Formats: sequence, structure tokens, C-alpha cells
Amino acid sequence: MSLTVNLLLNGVALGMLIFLIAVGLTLIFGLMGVLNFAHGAIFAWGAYVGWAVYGATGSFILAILAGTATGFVLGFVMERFFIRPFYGNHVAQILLTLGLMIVLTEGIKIFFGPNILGFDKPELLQGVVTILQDPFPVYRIFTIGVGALVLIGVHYLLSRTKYGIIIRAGVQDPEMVQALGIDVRKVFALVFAFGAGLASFGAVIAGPSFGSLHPEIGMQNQLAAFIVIVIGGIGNFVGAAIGAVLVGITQTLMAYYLPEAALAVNVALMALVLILKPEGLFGLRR
Amino acid sequence: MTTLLTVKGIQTFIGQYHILQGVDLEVEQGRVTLILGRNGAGKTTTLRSIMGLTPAKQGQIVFDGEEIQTLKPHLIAQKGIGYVPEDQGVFSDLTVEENMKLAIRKLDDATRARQDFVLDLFPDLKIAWKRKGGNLSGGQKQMLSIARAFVNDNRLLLIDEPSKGLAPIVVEKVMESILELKKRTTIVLVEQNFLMASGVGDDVFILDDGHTVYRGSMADVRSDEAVKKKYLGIGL
Repeated sequence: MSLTVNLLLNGVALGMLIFLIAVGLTLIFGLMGVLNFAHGAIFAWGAYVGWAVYGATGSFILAILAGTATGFVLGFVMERFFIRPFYGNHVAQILLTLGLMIVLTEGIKIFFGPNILGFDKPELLQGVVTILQDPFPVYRIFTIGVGALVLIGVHYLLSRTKYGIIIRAGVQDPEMVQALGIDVRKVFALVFAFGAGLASFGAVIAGPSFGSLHPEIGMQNQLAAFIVIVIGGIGNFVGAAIGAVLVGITQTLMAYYLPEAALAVNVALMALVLILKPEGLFGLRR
Repeated sequence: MTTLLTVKGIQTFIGQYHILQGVDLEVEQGRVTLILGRNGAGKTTTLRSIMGLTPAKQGQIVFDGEEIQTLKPHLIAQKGIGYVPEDQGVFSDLTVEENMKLAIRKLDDATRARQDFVLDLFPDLKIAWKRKGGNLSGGQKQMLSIARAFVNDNRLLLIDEPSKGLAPIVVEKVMESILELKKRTTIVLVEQNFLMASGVGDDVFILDDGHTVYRGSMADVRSDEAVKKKYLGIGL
């Protein structure tokens, strides 16, 4: 396998990890309009709980379930007791969710300690496969597959199910949805929890790929998630996926050819997209 | 005649503004009750208060023998009240089909029959079935909004100014459809267009400055030039 193909594949795998974080944020920020800066902290909690359950039981499937449930519950509680009075109030949302982020991150330090923890890949997904005569890690293929499945699943949910219709309608005119006999607050709470659950699900998948966890792991990934959402077009899932893959590939290429610029390149890419197409690659003009 | 909806002395505030200061209504089953009045008289707020969207602070709203003024809007809707708001409330990002799907609370044979009936009444909707709500004409949006309210087993429809912004020929079509729907359900209709409304109304309530100032039959109002002039601004 040529170097270029290898770098591209790695870029796609990284992009899919970013997408797994971004997909929940697309629901919460892109559709519901909540600027949730605690999304990364929920991601981190998912990763840590997943790590703990994996360590205790040895079952990666249980780890995924427990991690996902953690995010779902955190999201539900957060919406119910903190976010609900502040729909439509972005300044309050920023202050509130930044505060929650700090509390949740410090909570990780209390429960799991501030040190870096190793997160091993499950045995079944260790090792490499041969692609075009070159080795490629199985786990990265797994990541790409999971990302693709989540994309298809969420797309199906939103476009084909009654829940999806309620979500899309509720975002546009919550009052009318209520007048049609639907408890829109309950739906919003569930969507928020679902988005948070997706973040923590992605976190358990991402953990072994990163190889280690630290309490601030959510912060850096959250930044990437916001960037890909803006690049893809706010509220557009396919756009977020493509944006994530773009960011993943650019970052991988940069890390190889020009490591000093690897961190700046995401923001530069976002700036470029915003200059050329302010609504994002696949966003609707508002 | 049985009374389906009674509104007794409701008072509603929007922010600091005291919009409804004593509105009374009595809606008889199987009839079209008109709410007339000038701009800003409180007609829309009355419908929104019945729906629970701007809840009444005082007074009583009794629907089918049950007090509903403290219920949340989705529960009021579930009691069997359909709402067609002034701006039609069509979801622009959803297709006509999805708008209908969203509205349907329980998909049984009776609901399917009602959907068939209402699509026969508004064949335009069948043609635009896969089109997004945002791409419909004003008349089609109005039809969709009415269809959405009617498709459930609703015993009462609240329809807010269906003639607003529509071409006269479309208004006529909408009013004809209201006469059709009247055979199957009870309707409260808010209108500015007296001429159009007088063709479909049975009973009339006139609001002014947040009060009910007149009640009578359509025939009474039609022949009462003083009332028309005073409250509806219809001169001769």
C-alpha cells in the first residue's frame, strides 16, 4: 500500500472518531440550537466509565453499553434540570455548560484520579489486516465501520421514523407540535439525552484507539467536533460526516508532512470553508 | 342543543399586557361559531387561551364537561381539539405527507377514512404529497393546516383567520370546505372577512378590547347595522 493510501485510510479512521463525537453535537447544537460546551465532558465520562467497566468485566460490549448509558443519563439530567429554562438563550447556555464542563471534568479527577490511564483494545480487534500488501490496524477498520453504521442509523431515525419527524418539526415550531398533541418537552429531553449518549458511545469506541485517557480528553475532541459541524453545515449529519473525514485526512497528512502545523490546520480549514461558503459545505443558507 | 365548549370570563396576559379582560363564549355542538371583532380585539388570544398556548390567568374553560384551563397544550389537543393557527403552522422542512403523519395521533381505520375524506376535499394536497411544506402556496398551506387538524378524532376545530392573505377564489374554496367539515365536527372560526364568514357562520360572538361585547345568531348580526358599524367597522 502506498504511503498516500495509508495516510488517507488513517485520516478516514480519525475522521470517523471525530464524527462519532460530532454526531451527538449535531443533534444538540445543530438541530436543537443548544450551545453545549459540556458535550466533551460527557464524552470523557463515557470513556472513563467504559474503561472502568471494561477493566472490571473484560467485556468490551458491556463497556460500550455502560459508557453509552452514562452519557444518556447525564444528558437527560442536564436537560431536565439545567438546560430547559434556557432554550434560545445562547449566552446563558454558554455560561451554564462551561460551568457544567468544569464540574464534570473535576468529577473525573475525583473518581478516577488525574493521571493518564491506559485503554487497551479488545483482543478480537487487535492486530492488523493486509490491505494492498501493507498492514493496517483492525481497530481502525472497526472505527470506520461503526462510524458508517451510526451515520446510517441516525439518518434513518431522522428521515424515516415518526420520532425523526417530531424532532425536525419541534426544532422549527415547538408550539405547533404541542398543539398537535405531542409533549414536545419530553421529546427534547430525549433528543438531548440521545445526543449525549451518542457522544459517550463514541467515547468508548475512541478510547482504545487513543490508547489512553486523561480528564481533559473531552475538551480537545469537542473543539474538533464543533469545527466539523461548522464545516459540514450546522444541522446536517452527512455534512458533519464529510467534514469529519476532511478534518481527519488533513490532520493526518499534516501530522506526517508538517507536524508543526497539525494543530492549526483544522481551524485554518474551517476558516477557509467559512470564507468560501459561510453556511458550511452542506448547510442551508439561513 | 348541547354545549361543547364554554368559556367563562377568561383573563389572559401576554407579558405585562392584559389582553383578554373577560371573554365569554358558548359553542354549540355541530355548528360554526364565529368570533368577530377588530384587529387587536383579542380573537387570536382567545383561541390560544383555549389551546393552552397562552394560558388564561383567571376564568374557566370547559370542554365537554371538563375544565381544561390549567392543562398543558398537548393534553388539551389530546382531548379532541384541533388548532389551525393564523400563520397555518405548516412545517416547512417536512413534506405534506410528513406533516400529516406528525399530526395523526392514532392510525386506525376511522383516521384513515378521515384522511381520505379530507384529501378528497383538498385534492391539491394529494398532488403535493411529497412536496415540502415550505414550497406550498398560501392556499395549499391553509388546506394542509385544516387537514392536519381534522384528521384526528377532534370534536372541535379552532380555525384562526383562514382567509388571511389568500386570493378571493382560494378563500371561497376554503370556506366551502369549512361548510363540508361542519357536517362532521364543531368549528370555532375567527375571521376579519365578515362577508366570507357570514356565509358559513351560525352563531356569532363579537370581541372588543378583550371583552365579549355581543352574542347572537348570524341572522341577528346581518340585520343589525348598528352592531356591524360599531364593532366590525362595516359601514353602509
